[in-house]
Amino acid sequence: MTELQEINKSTSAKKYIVPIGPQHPALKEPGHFQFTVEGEIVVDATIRLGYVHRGIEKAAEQRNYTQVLYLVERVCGICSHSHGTAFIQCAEKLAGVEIPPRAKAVRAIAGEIERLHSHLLWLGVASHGGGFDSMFMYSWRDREIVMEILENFFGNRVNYSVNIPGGVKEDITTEFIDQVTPKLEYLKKRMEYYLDVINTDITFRQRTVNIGKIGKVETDKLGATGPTARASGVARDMRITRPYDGYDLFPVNIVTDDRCDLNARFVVRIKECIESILYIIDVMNRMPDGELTAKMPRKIPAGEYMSSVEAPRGELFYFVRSNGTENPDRVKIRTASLCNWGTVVSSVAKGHKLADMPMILSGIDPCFSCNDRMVQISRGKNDSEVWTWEQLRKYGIEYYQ
Amino acid sequence: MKLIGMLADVIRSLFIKPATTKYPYIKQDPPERYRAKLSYDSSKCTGCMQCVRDCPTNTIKIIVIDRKTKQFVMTYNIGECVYCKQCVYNCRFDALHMTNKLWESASGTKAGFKMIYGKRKNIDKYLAESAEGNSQSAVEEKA
Repeated sequence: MTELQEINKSTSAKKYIVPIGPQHPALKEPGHFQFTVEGEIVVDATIRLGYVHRGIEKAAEQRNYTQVLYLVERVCGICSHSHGTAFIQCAEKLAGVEIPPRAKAVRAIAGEIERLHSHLLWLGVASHGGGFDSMFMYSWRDREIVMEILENFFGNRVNYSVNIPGGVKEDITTEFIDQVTPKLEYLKKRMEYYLDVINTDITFRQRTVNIGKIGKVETDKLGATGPTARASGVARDMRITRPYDGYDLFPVNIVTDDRCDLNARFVVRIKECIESILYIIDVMNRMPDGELTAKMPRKIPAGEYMSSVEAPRGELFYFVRSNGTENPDRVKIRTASLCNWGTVVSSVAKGHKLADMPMILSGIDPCFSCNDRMVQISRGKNDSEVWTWEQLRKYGIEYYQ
Repeated sequence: MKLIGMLADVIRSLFIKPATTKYPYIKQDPPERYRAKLSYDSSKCTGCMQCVRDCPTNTIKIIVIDRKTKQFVMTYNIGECVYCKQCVYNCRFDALHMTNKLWESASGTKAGFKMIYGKRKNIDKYLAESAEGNSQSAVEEKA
């Protein structure tokens, strides 16, 4: 045995840890990953989050309900409407306010336009991760159509804040319907084309088919949500299981796929885009008449409410506790990205090459600023305790020493 | 199965106009409903402070000079405004509106971001009284 062969033998048996992030050229957002590799194959993965914690839940306690509505929209720019809807639903339900049917329809349309722009953004980012830059460029060019719709009719490109307590701000006019319908029909053709491309391009299929497989039972057990779960055959969609604003009046069709791999996640998201386009056109043609807002009291009666909204990435959960004043007593946010990390870390990543990791990571459509919600300090005791500011500060200083 | 999936699209794009525009050189008009600069009419204002109450960034301020004769000065900072239009929605007297003007608000300095609205004499009085008032503030007069 030569010396070189000996070295090769000793290194291949060893496990190496490849750290990626929080600052890394391949990552757009801060997160720290450690991939344990044997040769080129990943055998274990861990993740550390918390680099973009902004204290939004605490800040929400010092503002009134209207101000918090705009604050929570800024948790995530991509699903800003979902965050706003989920929060304000809690306040409306606590106050016993039923929003008018027209406002419900506008909320549903805004939600679906948001889903379109989020999925098109993801399509670009994920195909860029797989080295398919033509798809990245063209899908982002088509996303611009959706951004223009948002800009023209809701006034802003990202944080369009359609909601106000008790209804919506902007109306869906006949002018809107006339201008949007041809644009959406063009987009539908493009989405059908992309669906064809991802299923026929040989190189892209080799990078996605049978990569990052996760079974239906395991997906269910790990609590994955959104397109990640639906690509594994789990029919979990808040718009259908717990219909909220708009989706109770106009039901939406669910898209699932049983192939459980990365390709299925592409197929589910693109089919959802087509479904969203058909849904928007359908709702626009059946817009209920009436007011856009209902009267909302400033002081919300004391109580607790939990609401779930199907954000583009999955189930977005809000818990709001009111103490009868103008400000909420507690706002708890649990985002979709946080539920989906479990699938990557515990099963999907293992057994694949390190080069597949960017695609597997982007396969769940992660949003890092969504993730950083809470720090659970577990010391092996079951009893919960409330920490004072001094205790928390002392813990923080000691932790980072 | 295709070897290069988007080849036809790529070749077609060679013969069509670029999707991008030469923005800083060729200016574009913002959409009609675009949320940009606020407009304020002090003669309609009653000083009810509903706009101040719900501003998410607490940037809008109404300074009451004389409530009976409707002498008000409104100030806000474009750099702090998040363009949510809540103040316009809250205003029951039609005094606040959102226009699509002055939407290019990127700047290298902080100067000129503070907007002051009202009648000329009221603005002068406000600037004389407040230490914040400096020559760099953008002043808009509205009868």
